[in-house]
Amino acid sequence: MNNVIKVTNLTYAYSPDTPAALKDVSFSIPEGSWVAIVGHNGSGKSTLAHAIDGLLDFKEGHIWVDGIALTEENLWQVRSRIGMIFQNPDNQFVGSTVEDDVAFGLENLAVPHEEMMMRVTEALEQVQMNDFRKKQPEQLSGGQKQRVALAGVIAMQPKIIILDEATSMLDPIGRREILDVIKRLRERLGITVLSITHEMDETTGADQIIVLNDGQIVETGTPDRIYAKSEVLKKLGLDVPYPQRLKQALMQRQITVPETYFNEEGMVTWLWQSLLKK
Amino acid sequence: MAITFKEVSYIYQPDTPFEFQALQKITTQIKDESFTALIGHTGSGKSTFLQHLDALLKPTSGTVLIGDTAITHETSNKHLRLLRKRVGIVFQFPEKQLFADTVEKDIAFGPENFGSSPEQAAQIARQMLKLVKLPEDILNRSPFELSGGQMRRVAIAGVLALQPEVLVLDEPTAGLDPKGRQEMMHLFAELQKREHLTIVLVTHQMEDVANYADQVIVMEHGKIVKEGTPRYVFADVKWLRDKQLDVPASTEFAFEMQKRGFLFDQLPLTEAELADDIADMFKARGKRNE
Repeated sequence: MNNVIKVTNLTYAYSPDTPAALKDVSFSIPEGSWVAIVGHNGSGKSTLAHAIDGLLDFKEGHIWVDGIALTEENLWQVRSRIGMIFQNPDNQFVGSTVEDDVAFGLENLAVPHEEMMMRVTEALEQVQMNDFRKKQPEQLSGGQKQRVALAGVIAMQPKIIILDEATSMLDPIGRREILDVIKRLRERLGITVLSITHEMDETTGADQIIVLNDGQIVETGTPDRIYAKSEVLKKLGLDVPYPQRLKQALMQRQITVPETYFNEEGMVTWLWQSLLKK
Repeated sequence: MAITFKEVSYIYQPDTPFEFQALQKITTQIKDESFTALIGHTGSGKSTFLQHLDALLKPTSGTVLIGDTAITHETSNKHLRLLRKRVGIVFQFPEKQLFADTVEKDIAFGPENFGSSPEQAAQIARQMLKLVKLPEDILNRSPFELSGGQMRRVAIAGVLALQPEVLVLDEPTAGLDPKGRQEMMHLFAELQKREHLTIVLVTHQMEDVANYADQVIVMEHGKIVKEGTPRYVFADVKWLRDKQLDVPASTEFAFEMQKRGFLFDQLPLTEAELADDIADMFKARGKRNE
């Protein structure tokens, strides 16, 4: 499969006298996949997202997006392939209504009116917000505003969507809405998703997880592989998935538990086999 | 300090086409020195309820008793100033309300407003910094240079500086990473014990409710639909799920075990409780096999 994002030996410091926020970071992301970058606050994960979108002027290392090297000359070509969603739903709403907001980017590109309306409708349908198209931002919940922001991004037909802690200011319902939309977008449109989060439970649907700490990649792997490393996660200040936490609590009570990673269902089944099966 | 609601209703923009009843005849009590968790969806009336705790809103009908001060529709705003010193509210993302050019000035702003001399206020700022576990050397720094977690602590110190008896926390850990979240919750539990505070916590984190609260109020459509101890409120997992509310991870897990035939005397609320229950099952199974 094609790597739609490739980063090699990226190092970046915000100023010469602060420690580097990213240190020799290298990885690639296959087209159409969902990669989650996790780490505690200050681990460098947002810096990495900003670097990929060309928001930082880095001197060391290289970034390719959809085969294009990220340089000053290619900046807009790279950005046209990426849609970014940020943390605060209120800071991203620029239109006076939902449809105006979604159309904003297209208007800037001088897309003909008819095509624009079509793309706005399609995008709103993808995030299931078409019924709200005449609403004003203050009539929407945080989750709905983030879905509108996603629609604005989809209307621009990017290859990659980057979510920079896009759910962290939302309530549980809002979070679920966004995660559902991401899943649908991947299935229907084959968009590559890069999600940046400190919530481990939002990474279960990802193909790959990259764990960042102190500006460096410390682990890369499938969710199951990463979740099994509960000691590492704990040390990095990240949440350990519940079945792993329960396993550790059982070990402390002198119960022998299997080493392989279980999700919740697997763990219940193991308990059933050990305790109830005749 | 206890806060009592007696048949409290609140209507936004009454007698207009936008009229909206956010609270419907609420009767409840936040007990003195309790740790009360308030849960419910966005739009359930939680924020309106919160704003009655220090009379930012006055009931359209009914009475709120804050300590021994009764607040009704007719209470004049003159009497509310001292009351607001006794009830401190930390709103969501409180770091957005930082404004001064140094941490010290930001924390000292409240006490100075309530009559402390600049020296006294600076002294209080220093004490509060210690209380929220920030190093003293940040006093002269700009709050805007600090990390998100530190900024939030400064904002909380600013509320604590008025030495409130009731501390209201509106999703105080939203946006923090797991470690920051845990540290913040420890801090509140410690403050409550040391300063004998009454705490009201609005949260979506049911783990925190299970671990820290002694009373839970569940709101929906402007009404209290359930209240009691965490054990009582979380006992009915199906009811909470129907309301699209989460339950603590351990309770959820035990509920799934129940479906596979496991029996629990009462559903566990914490990891330790569930692990103890399972350890007992292993022991019992061992004995049967001997």
